[in-house]
Amino acid sequence: MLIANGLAVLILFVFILAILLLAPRIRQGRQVYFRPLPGFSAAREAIARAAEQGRTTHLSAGPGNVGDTTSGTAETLAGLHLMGRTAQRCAASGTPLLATTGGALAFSLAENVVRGGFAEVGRLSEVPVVGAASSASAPVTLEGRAQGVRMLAHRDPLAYAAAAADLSECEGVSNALLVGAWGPEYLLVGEAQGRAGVQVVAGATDPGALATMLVGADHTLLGEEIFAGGAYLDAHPAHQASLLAQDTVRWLIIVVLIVGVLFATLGGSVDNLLWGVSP
Amino acid sequence: MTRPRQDDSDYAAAPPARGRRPAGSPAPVRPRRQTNGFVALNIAISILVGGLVLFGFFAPGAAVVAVRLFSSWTTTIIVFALLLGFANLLRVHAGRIRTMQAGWPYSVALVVSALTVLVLGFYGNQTVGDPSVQWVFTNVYQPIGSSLFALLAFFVVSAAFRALRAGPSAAWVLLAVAVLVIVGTAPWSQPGGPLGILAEIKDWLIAYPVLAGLRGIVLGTALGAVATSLRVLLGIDRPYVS
Repeated sequence: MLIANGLAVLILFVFILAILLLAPRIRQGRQVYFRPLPGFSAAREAIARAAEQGRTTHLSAGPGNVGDTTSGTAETLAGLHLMGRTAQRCAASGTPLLATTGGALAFSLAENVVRGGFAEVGRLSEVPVVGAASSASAPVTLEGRAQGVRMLAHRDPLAYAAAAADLSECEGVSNALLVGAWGPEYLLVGEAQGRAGVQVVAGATDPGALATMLVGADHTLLGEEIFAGGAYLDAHPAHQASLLAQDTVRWLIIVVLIVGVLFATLGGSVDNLLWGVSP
Repeated sequence: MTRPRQDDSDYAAAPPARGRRPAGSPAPVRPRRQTNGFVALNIAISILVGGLVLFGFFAPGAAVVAVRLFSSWTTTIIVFALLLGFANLLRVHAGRIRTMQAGWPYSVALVVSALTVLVLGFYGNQTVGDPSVQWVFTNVYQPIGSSLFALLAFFVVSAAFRALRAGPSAAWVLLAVAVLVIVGTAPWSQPGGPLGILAEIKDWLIAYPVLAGLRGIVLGTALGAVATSLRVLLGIDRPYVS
């Protein structure tokens, strides 16, 4: 048990050290290479196209919430980060924006990140408001015009997906970025958007959701790719350093796995070594 | 070797080569975030609280008081936020009903449902575990959720059909494996049956390629989650301030 706790602390230590060491070097101009992810490029292009057409971009942080271990906090935070970066692009290009969340705490954070995105381009006064008149041709829905930041449900993924599907079929939505703690309920939204011809970039970590996204979405961000938005979309040095730290720790874990396999093959007990129990 | 960027977002479209920038070339100018005192205070509090809670995971005895204290504060704040949210929900939908806006019958359903559950809760044990409130959840809320979930089976077929019609893609592999697993799970494919080989293939698929892929996704996701959480803890990502 002590070794397992020690390994966890070691991983955290390596992460923090890598971020603190690499970020200043990247800030000073050291260039790093990341493999291209078509999903992020497609999201950028879709926003540009939506701006030309005057149609709405739907940004979703998924049905998850923030604050406990069972609701997909990390995935929701990743979705919120992407929401903020994409909102900044929408603000810069004048693209109407609809941001939705599936949890109360995620909703307040979503309001913050959208406001932050608009503030970065000096358009804080133009943050879209639910029900307010839009400069674009977004049609009127049950909830008002298809814009603004909305909490569609709280800790009820199916209810959230059903509400998001209803909004997606609204004619004003032309593209969507759905990244967060999605499960199989993604299909409700994905199918509605497929029928409406909405271009979708979706991302999740749940294998059930990923299977449905691969079938239904135009581009899928698989697992860990959803956490790389900061490094790809705004190339922030700390995010790039964080991504490099992930790769570093991944290699360390691969080495540990290989050593563990060799140790077990030679007759040792990994369980006994790590957890202090005999198999 | 550096590459001219088309715009401020073009980092990933065609990534630059690894290594240091060429000598003599200017360092890229990156905008630095302005941080005022209020934001700095927010960041300091979040780092302190997050650090203490994280420390509590590794040393439960030492930080238990702080973790319990923060948890009780959070609960108190959430209760007041819930009351405010409930009042706001009723206000908004009452306004819609009063002005007969489009879809106002849905607002009536919402207000009636909310008030019914509230009254039932006050009438009984005044807890969410009250039998009358539980009856509403068991006989109204859960069946609606189950019905919605059952629809997913039809959505899967529809999505697969659309994906297959679009041409060769991963959907074909998905379909082939799904059919194999379904057939391999059927009674006639049990070991010793006429199609027992299918059960063996299915078991092999689940035990090796599927499990390997799942472990890869879980490992990558865990590392991504750690990185994301650390960025919030270190104040690099600040969704809590705008």
